[in-house]
Amino acid sequence: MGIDWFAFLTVAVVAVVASCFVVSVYSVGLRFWSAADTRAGKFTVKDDGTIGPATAGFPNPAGSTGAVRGLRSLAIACFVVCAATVLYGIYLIVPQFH
Amino acid sequence: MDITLIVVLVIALALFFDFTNGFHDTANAMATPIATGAMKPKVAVTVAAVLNLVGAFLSTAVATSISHGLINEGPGGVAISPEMIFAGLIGAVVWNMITWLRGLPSSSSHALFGGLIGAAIVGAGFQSVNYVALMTVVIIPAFLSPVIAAFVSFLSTRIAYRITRRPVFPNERGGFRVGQIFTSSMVSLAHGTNDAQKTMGVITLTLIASGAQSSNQGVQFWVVIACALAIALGTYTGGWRIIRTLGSGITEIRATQGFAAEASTAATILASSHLGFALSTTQVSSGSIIGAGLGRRGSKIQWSTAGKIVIAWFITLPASAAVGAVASGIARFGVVGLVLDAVIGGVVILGLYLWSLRKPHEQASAIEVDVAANAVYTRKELRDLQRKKRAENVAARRAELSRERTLRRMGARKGGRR
Repeated sequence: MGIDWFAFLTVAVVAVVASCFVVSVYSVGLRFWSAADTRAGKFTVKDDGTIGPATAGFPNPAGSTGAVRGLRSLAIACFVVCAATVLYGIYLIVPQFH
Repeated sequence: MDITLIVVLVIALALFFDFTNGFHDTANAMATPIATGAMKPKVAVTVAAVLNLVGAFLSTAVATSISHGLINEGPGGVAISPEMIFAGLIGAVVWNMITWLRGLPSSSSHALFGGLIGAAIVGAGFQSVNYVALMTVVIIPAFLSPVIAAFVSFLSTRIAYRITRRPVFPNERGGFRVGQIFTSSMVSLAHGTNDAQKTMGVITLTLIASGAQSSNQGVQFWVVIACALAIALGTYTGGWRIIRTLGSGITEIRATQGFAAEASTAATILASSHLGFALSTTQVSSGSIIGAGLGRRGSKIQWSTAGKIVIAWFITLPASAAVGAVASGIARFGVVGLVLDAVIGGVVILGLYLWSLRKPHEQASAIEVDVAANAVYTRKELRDLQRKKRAENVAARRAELSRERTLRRMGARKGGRR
C-alpha cells in the first residue's frame, strides 16, 4: 500500500474550488443586495464615494420597482446557488444517496 | 464470542472520549460566530450539538479507515486485545482533559491515535502498527491539512474583501454575519461526520478484537447512534476555554473573515471525510483562522499564541502515546493491572476536573496571559465598553470645566471670595 498523493491533491483542489466558489457567489449576492438598497434610496453615495444618509422619501414605493426588483432577485439567485452548492456537497458525501 | 466485561468498559470509555471530543471541539465551529456576534453562545452551542448529531449519521468512511487497517488485527497481523484499546483510550482522554484545562485547541483525533499507537506498541510490539496506513491516514494529513486550510481560507478572505470592496456600496459586510450562521453550521456538520466516526471506529475495532464482529463487517448501527448522542451531548456542554482562545487569541475576527474561514474549514473537512482521511478538525479550523487573519490587510496575528497552538499539535501524538504506553504496560499484569489502570485513569480525570472547578476559567489557561487583554467580547459588548469609557471621559471633562468656570467666576467677583 503506497501513499496516495493523488487523494491529497484531490482534497486540496476540491477545497479550494468549493470554498472560493461559495464565498465569491455569496459576496456577489451581498453586493447585488446593497446595490438594490442604494437604488431604492436606503443610502446615498456622495461624490467622494462616502456614504450619505437615506434619501428623503425612503422607503418610497417608486424605488421598489424595475431595477431594484431585478437586483434583488439576482442577489437572491446568488444565495440560492450557494445553498444548492452546499446541499450538493452533502449529497456527494452521503453514501445512502448513491 | 459474547461481549465481555472488558468490552463494555472499553465502549463506556470510548463514549466518554467522544463526549470530551465534543466539548473540546465546539470551539472549532462556534468560536468565530460567537466572537463576531453572529450567534448568541447558547444558541450557537445548541445548533452545533444538533448538527453534530445529524453529521454523525451521514457517513462512515473515516470509521472504516480507523477500524480497518491502522492497527494490524486478525490472522494476518498481531491480534490486539480490548485491554490495549482500553489503555489507549485512557491516554487519549487524559491528554484531552489536560489540553482543555489549558485552553489549547489540540487535536482530539491525534490524542486518540497517539493513545492507541502507544498502547499497541507496548502491548504487542512494534510490528502491530501499520505504519504505512499511519502515515497516509494520520501523519501526512496532520501536516498538510492546516496548510491547505490556511491557504484556502486566505484566498477566500481575499476574494470576499475584493468583491465587497468599499466605499462604493455601503454596509454589505453585515450580510456575512448572516452567512456565518450557515457556514458555522456546516462546520458542525462536518465535525460530526469526521470526529464522531473516530469513536465509532474505535468501538468497531474493539468489537473486532474481541471477536464479537467479523473484521470485514462495517460499523453497526447501535454504535453509530451511541456515538452520535455522546458527541452531541459533549458539544452542548461546550468548551468555553478553547472558544476564547480561538475566538480572539489568534487574531481579531470580523464577520467577513469568519465567513471565509468557516467556508474553507467545512470544504476541507468534508472533502477529506469523503475520502476517509481522519484529519483533525481542530487543526483545520485553526489553520483557517490563521489564513483569514493573513487575508485581511491590517489585521494582526498573535504569533505567540499561534506558536503555542502549533507546539501543542506536535506534542499531542507523542504525549498521549506515552500515557497510552504506560497504561498498556500496567494492563499487562492481567485483571489487577486493568483495575489499577481504570482506578488511576478515573482519579486523574476526576482530579483534572476538580482542578478546573477550583480555578474558574477566567484565570485558567496558560496562554491566558496573551489572551487576557482581549478576552472574547462580542462586537456589541466592545462597542458598549467604548461608549461607556467615552461617556466617563466626557463627564470628567465636564466636571473639570464647570469647576474651572466656577473658580473664574468667583475670581471675577468684586471683593474676591466671600
